[in-house]
Amino acid sequence: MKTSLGKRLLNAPCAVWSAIFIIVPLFIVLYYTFLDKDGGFTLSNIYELAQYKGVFITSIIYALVATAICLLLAYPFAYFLTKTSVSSQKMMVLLVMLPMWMNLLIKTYSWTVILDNNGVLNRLLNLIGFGSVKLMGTPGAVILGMVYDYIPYMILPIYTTISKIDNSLLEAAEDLGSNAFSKLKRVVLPLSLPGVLSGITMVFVPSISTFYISQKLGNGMILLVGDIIETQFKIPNYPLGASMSLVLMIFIIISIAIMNKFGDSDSGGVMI
Amino acid sequence: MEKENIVELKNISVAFDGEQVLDGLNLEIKDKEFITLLGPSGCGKTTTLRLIAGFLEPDSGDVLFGGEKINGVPAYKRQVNTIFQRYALFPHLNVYENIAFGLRVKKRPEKEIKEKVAEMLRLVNLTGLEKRHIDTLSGGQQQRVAIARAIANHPKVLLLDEPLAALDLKLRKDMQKELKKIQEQLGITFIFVTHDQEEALTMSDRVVVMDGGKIQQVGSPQDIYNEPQNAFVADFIGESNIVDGKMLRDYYVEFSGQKFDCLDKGFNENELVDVVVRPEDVDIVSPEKGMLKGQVTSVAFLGVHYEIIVDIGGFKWMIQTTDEHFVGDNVGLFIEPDAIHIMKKSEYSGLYGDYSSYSEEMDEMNEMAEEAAE
Amino acid sequence: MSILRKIFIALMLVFLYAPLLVMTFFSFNSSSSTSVFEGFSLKWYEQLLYDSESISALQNTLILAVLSAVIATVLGTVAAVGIYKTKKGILKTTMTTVTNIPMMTPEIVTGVSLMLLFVFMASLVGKKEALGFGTVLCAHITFNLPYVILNVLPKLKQTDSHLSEAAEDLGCTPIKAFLKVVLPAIYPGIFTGFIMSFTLSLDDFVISYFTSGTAFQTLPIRIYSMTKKTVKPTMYALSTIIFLTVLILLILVNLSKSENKKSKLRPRLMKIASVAVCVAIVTAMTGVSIISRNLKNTSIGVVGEYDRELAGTTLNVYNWGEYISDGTDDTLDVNSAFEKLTGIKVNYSYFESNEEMYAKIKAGSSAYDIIIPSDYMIHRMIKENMLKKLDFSKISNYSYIDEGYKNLYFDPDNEYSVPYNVGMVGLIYNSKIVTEKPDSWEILFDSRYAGNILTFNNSRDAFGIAQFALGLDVNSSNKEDWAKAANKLIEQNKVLQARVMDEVFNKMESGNAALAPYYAGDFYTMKDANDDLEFVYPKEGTNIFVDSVCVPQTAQNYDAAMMYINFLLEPEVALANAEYICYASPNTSVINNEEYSFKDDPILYPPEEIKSNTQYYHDLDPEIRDYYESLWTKVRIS
Repeated sequence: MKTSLGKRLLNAPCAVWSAIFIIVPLFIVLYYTFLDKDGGFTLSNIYELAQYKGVFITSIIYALVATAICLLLAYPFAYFLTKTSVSSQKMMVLLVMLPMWMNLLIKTYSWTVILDNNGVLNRLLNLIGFGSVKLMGTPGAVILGMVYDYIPYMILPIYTTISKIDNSLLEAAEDLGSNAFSKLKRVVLPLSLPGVLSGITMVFVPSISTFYISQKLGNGMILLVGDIIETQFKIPNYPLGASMSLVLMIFIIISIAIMNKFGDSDSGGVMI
Repeated sequence: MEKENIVELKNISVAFDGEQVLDGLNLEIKDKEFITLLGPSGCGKTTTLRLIAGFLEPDSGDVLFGGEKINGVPAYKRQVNTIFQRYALFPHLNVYENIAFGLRVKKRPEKEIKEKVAEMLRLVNLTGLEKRHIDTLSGGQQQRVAIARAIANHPKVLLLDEPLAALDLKLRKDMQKELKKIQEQLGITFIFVTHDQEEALTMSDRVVVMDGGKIQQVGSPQDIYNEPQNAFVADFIGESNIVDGKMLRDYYVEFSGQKFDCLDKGFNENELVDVVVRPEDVDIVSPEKGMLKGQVTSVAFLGVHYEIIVDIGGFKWMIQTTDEHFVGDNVGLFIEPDAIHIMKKSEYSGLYGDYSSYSEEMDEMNEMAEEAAE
Repeated sequence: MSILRKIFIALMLVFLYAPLLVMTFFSFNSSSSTSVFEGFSLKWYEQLLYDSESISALQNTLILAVLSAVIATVLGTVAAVGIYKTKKGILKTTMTTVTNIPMMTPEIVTGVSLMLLFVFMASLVGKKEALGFGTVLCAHITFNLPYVILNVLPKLKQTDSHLSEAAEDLGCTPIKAFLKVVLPAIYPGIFTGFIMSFTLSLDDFVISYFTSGTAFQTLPIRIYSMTKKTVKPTMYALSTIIFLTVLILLILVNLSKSENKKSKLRPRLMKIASVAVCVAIVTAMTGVSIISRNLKNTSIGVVGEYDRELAGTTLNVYNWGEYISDGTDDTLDVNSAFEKLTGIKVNYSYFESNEEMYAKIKAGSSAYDIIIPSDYMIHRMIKENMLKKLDFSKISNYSYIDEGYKNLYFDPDNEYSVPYNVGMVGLIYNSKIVTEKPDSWEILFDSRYAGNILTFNNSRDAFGIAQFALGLDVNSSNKEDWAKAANKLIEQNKVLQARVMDEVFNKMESGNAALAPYYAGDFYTMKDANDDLEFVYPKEGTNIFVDSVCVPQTAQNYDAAMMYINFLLEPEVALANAEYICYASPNTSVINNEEYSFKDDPILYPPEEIKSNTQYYHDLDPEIRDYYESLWTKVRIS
């Protein structure tokens, strides 16, 4: 059967939109990547990236660690959530979503108030007899910021996929001899994989390109790819900024493609 | 020798949100028998099954397995397996892995799993489909995978929760035979839940008719059909004309304004009773020869026989006969003593057995609505 | 549910809400400190009443979020249906892949590349003002699109394909069948996509920043632009109000949804209540923005001549955040006063750094009429012919400008700029920790204070410190000089606690850090919160900067701009600004005013021997600029 013209036309508005606002900007990035100072073609921007290898690796590690922590916290949270009563589940989902609607800048700023040397947390530690701990400016603080800001994007898709699992499947597993743990391992986990993959994407991508979190919680001492790209576009040194962005995007797209292949998910992704 | 009880339910009560679902239920299930829980939606049959499976704990009463109390034993430790209504096959696993699931959970060696799965596939005629994905299977094939998966675990008791409901008529008939065959082959207990009385009668050694969270009658299919204990059972199993009657003395009953000989005894003199007459047990004769007289109000041809509704003093009787009659004919009814079955009055008296609003279609639609509501 | 699970869930909620609670807590602080709670006060909520700009920024944010979410949802749903109906093949793969790209692009790349696109498109149609509400909207729709498609597509796959056939069979046209049958089936996905879009749009500032024009500011942009000064506690107050409102709404909605069999009245009541709350909020917001305009002090006497010939036109002003007296605390609201006087509408927007401002003007994206860059940037913009000459015949108040701020290096003939504020960089230290009185920049490299030292988180200021300490020329064209300074900075990394901009306030006020270089005027803000802080101008000399008012080549309302510049020089206006901003004023009417609270202040107006030991930053050759920027990155990496 051929797709009828009418049906194909449904793609038109979005295709036109994508062409203008997604493809053309992509070419603009591409154009600047190979632009030298006199407007000619050059590969030097790409070569120049070599010196930022370390930053790329650091950023990848930070984003991976943040994503892993998000997953480790979000999965049990989402799983336990599905075990509570329906009405409290609704309430809890809303409670998870609420912080997403608060301004990211303000939230991150609040974390500096909590984590500073004389901040709320250290005061508490002092009160109960622990000494002060340096938190701000450590990798831990930056990762905490990433985890905090993006964990709702991990919780919600996982919660959705788990809560959609037919209860009879769980009963069937139990019936066939699975205890709670083996039920989780053999049925819940594989069936919630699409949610996990969506969650990973939605945490990893913003984590690897953030600059505000590392600036504020890293005391300006921890430099990530996002910071450098931001600086380049502000100086402005578009060619270097563009080439870095391009490499970052290619890296992200490849890793997501690999992950989805590995996850064998054709469900396309589940959000909430 | 009397077989041993494998499952016993003692004085079980269950309530959901204050609504009594099972009310003081007692049931003994014998080893290696094919027992069917039959009843309309909401009668508590599925709840009973889930109690045995371990998905549900009774509010009061005991569940015994092989003579031992198993209240509180989680489902995964019970030697029973379930075939779920919509099969509950794992969508992330293929046919092979679905069947192997229970064995893998028990950490059986790979070789044993392989042999076992192959054996199961043979048993349910699915050899060659190991690698197939669940959603590429037809309904019947999915059904077979569900059976294979459940019995691969060697349960002592197999619980079947309306397993054939989703299949079409022809397939359903075939599967009925096949299930019976498998049960005999394996020699284990099948507890089968259905709302289809025909299915229950064809397959079971014993039938448990349930309604309103209570057992209405337990017995062999023949007992249930021929000797229903109350109006509910009489109506639910097959077609019945149920009329009010008065037991004048033993072997003598009065109903529809006439007095009849019958084979029942043991009632008080002049006790009010329900009288059941199966439609196929009534003969239509000429009005003057008839014990009861009435007028034909509707005739339907069903192939094997005609289904005729006769109005007798305002009460509509259904009669199944191979002779043709026409609407408006005045006829007489002839009833043999052994066609009359007397039941004690019960809470169901007066609710069933009158065909004045009868329509086969209506019945089916009601049934479907009930199913949908489930 | 086991206790452990409950504890885990509770801990997660504590984690999710900790910063929000801290924010709420400090919004009731009577001081602006975010480290010490000095008493309960509703001061910041009261001040919010005067902050019509934040309120209208909030309104803009909401309008943008709702609109972009709605359009993205419609477009995305149609696209999802299209993709779903298209047979597997190149078209399908391309569509899914392409629409996913915005999800995987770093925000800043999306922002800049879209800005360049909009500018290019505007130049095609010959429009001068490339950016505006429409462009931000397009940008938001673009990054929302993948989230809608990703939510709708799975729902479509789950939907029985016979549904629409059944509807068509019953006499529906395909479109009607879609609307009546398919749409309700995929509605949960559409709704989720909408909520996701709304959420993302609400929080975005990077993309909005680059794609919004003169007339449209969102709340995140406003907050972000406060980073040269400090995030005001009024923002905490505003966020607290938003937080509580949303919380109440969520609870109401949840209660109205909960299927309570006992009472049918309650859900209905809750629905009414939530609608009532919404209405109340909208009314309150409108009310506040109207009231705050009227509450504001706009009464002023002027010396210059202003007519209302240009009444009804619009003037686009582009300035640093928190860099004008805006009516809070009963100060003069300069912009409203100007509007009242001339009838010209002022569109006021903010930038966070000279470079950001430059990037936007350079791209030609927005037709600003007034910009207020710093000296070196003016230098550069004049070189690149980006500024218009001013018509000084219309700026009679120019005579108030101190002779010392005329004929500066970047505008030797006083053609392009009128000084607005003057600042100097000095050393702020905590006398409790630093007991000696420091006199040299070297103390910022002193290992005795390791972990207590802050420095600037921008390249030129950070290099400047090292250059002064080493006795190098801050405007050197010798790469070796820069490399030396960079080495000095790398050495400094060991003792640094943080590189900061606005964070300096919190860190110094709370005693988290002991030493920091910062702009002189801001010292007083910190001193207010922590009396242990002291200020000194190191002996090696320091940087002086002038932020001046200029008119870019792209200006649309030149005459109004002249009027505005003249207005800024009005004695009363200049005084109000000087008092509000706390920087030194180049305006003699202010400097000599007896009522000026900083009159002859030794820090803002230091004696001549200190003043003569200062240097302006010049705009350097692109080659040197690129060189020191790459050094700066190196410093930060090592």
